[in-house]
Amino acid sequence: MQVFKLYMKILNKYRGQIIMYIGIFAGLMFGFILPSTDNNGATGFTESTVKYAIFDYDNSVISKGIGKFLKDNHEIVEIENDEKETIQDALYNQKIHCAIRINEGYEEDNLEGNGKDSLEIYRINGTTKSVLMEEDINSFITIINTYLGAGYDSKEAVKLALEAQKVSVKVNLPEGEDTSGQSAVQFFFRYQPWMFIAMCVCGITPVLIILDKKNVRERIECSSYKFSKMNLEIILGVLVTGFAICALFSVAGVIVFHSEMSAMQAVLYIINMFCIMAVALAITFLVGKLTTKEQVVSLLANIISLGMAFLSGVFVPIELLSDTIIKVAHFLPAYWYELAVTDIINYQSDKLARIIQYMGIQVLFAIAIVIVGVAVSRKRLVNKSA
Amino acid sequence: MFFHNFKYSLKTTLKNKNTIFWTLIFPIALGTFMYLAFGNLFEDEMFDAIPVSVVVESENKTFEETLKQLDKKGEDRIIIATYESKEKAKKSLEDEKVEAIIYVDDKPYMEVLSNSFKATVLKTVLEEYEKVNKVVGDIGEKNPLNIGKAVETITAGVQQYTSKTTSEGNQDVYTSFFYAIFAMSCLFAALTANQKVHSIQANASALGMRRCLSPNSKMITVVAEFLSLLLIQFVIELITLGYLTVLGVDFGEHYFLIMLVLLFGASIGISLGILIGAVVKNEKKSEGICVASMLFLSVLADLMIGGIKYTIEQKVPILNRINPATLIADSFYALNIYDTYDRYIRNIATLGGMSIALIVISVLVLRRNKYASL
Repeated sequence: MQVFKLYMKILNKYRGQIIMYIGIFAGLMFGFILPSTDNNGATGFTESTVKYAIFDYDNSVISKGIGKFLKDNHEIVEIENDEKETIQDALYNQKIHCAIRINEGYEEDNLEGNGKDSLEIYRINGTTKSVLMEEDINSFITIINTYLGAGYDSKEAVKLALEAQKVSVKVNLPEGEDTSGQSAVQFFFRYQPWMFIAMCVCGITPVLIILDKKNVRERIECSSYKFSKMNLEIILGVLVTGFAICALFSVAGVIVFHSEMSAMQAVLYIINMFCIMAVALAITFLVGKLTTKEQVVSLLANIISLGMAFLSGVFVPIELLSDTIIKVAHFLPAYWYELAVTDIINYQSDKLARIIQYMGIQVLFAIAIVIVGVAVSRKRLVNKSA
Repeated sequence: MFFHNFKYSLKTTLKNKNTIFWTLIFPIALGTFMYLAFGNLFEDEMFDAIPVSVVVESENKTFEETLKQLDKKGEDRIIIATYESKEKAKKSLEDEKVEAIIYVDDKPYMEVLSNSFKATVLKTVLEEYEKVNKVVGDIGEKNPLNIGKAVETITAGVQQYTSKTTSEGNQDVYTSFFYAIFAMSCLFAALTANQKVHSIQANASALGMRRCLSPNSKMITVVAEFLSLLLIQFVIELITLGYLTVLGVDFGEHYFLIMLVLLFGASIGISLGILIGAVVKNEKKSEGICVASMLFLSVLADLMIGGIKYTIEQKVPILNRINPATLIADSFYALNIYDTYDRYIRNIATLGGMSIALIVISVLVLRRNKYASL
């Protein structure tokens, strides 16, 4: 197993690349995704809420009433201050969808019919969320003003307006619809095509390039080592690396998310993970045949992994991609991986055949990529000998 | 001597066609993929009149009149209603031709396929009808003399607030991914710079040994390498900027200032590469460090997930002030969004200052090295 040992020794020198991707993924997962996902598993129709910040400088009965109404119906978010730049940054980054400023003297102005100028709503113009918030606030204040006009005082008007909000319309939602949004387990498995491809190409391709160097190869070839044995040991090394990475992620996934998936789901997630790893290893092989420059390998790794991630539903959920992109995505293995993940998340036994089909397509992609790699390799050999 | 070094550095870089090609293809390919993936996402967030099917289960003239008002053509149109039978309406909903089915009844109700903001807007609008009935009923019961005024107020449709915007610039949050591409592309210039700096160190390469024999000041050599790489990288960034603009990405109007960001961005990438190459003599190792650190810095500038930069701004703002990728991306953002240039100037000044500091440190590390044996 001399060549296998050599492969492992060289790989050890490049372990930093692999560890880096695991580090970035773990950082994204634990630093940003897990704290921001809310997997409450709600079923039935739930109203979408708008994230807002409020600055009440009036502190009057009506302004407090508006504050209570918003708090009951939407999601309040605190931002540092109501300076234009702070609000703009929070709006742009979608920390809030609206900022409401109630200026001092609002209640008096409203009673005189000039409340409009003292209540400011900052928002990105024309978004559905801003329309929803504006509709809500307008309706609530109109109801308060209706009661005020009918002779009620501010306190009673606010109380009755809040009561009127209890009116609700029935909304039917078909049974079995998943309404819980993106869960952390989904993120964990969804991001794997990006990470596996980037990690394998950056970590393994340089090893293959070194082993493919003319002087190294010729030195091994002139020894008593059989040519086929040398290639088999290199393939074994690559497969062991892929297996080790998959095993690591399988164990991590099962430990962190064991309560969020059934045994069947766990098995399917892991098999699917091995399928995309096969694709990642095939791409690694192809890149190794396309270039001999390590610097180019880094660029290619990022182009392929990020490009596929953007077009296949890794970074942007498939349902948000346009029809044209989805048609293009059919030619990318990560798309089939993502479809399988979506089906595994909402697993029912009748979906099993489809999931296996998606996995099969990934394996076929892997085989096709290896064949292209072999063809490229042969062409290069022919060119060299010519 | 400087021009001689500059010329040959330029020549050797340009002869490395493979690297130049991929350095150029890298941002263009990523930009294209992102454009294809994000093209319509922001437009989808904008409100358009919502297509709905209306099924009349029992007559309710007032509610039907309300629906007509909501369906009135114009800027304030809320719904596009199609009256059809229950079966046809269900089919339209399943085929996603409509967002919801509204049932006209004594107590109107609706049906949707999934939760969404549009569904919530429709629910709010239907509830509005019920609330008006309740409020008018309440007042009619307790203060019947004021019922006329109440109906007038509640149906007047007066706007009760002032709408404000914070910027006239491009508010599409997905554009920040393109800013991050430029940041990443500028920083990845570190790879070429790293390779170059190894070629001037006697203990790093054979070429370095030969070059160290010449009576050339390290300052001149490093600055010549730096400027030649800067020129090439800057041209690559300009080509990318032109391509993405033609593709349809809205970077605002300040193209001259954007070019300045790219110039300073490329310079920070190159100086980082020079420093890493100067400190870490093993070329493979330093290349690995370059890729790892540049990718990590780009991730922190929103390359893969939006909002990371903003979260860091809330928790550890100092990190955003020194992360070159964030400084590049934030300069684009500041130019596109704000009327003032304070933030832009701060970012550019930091990038420039950091580049100079890194080059000076690199020269100090590289100069006057003596070798007992090589």
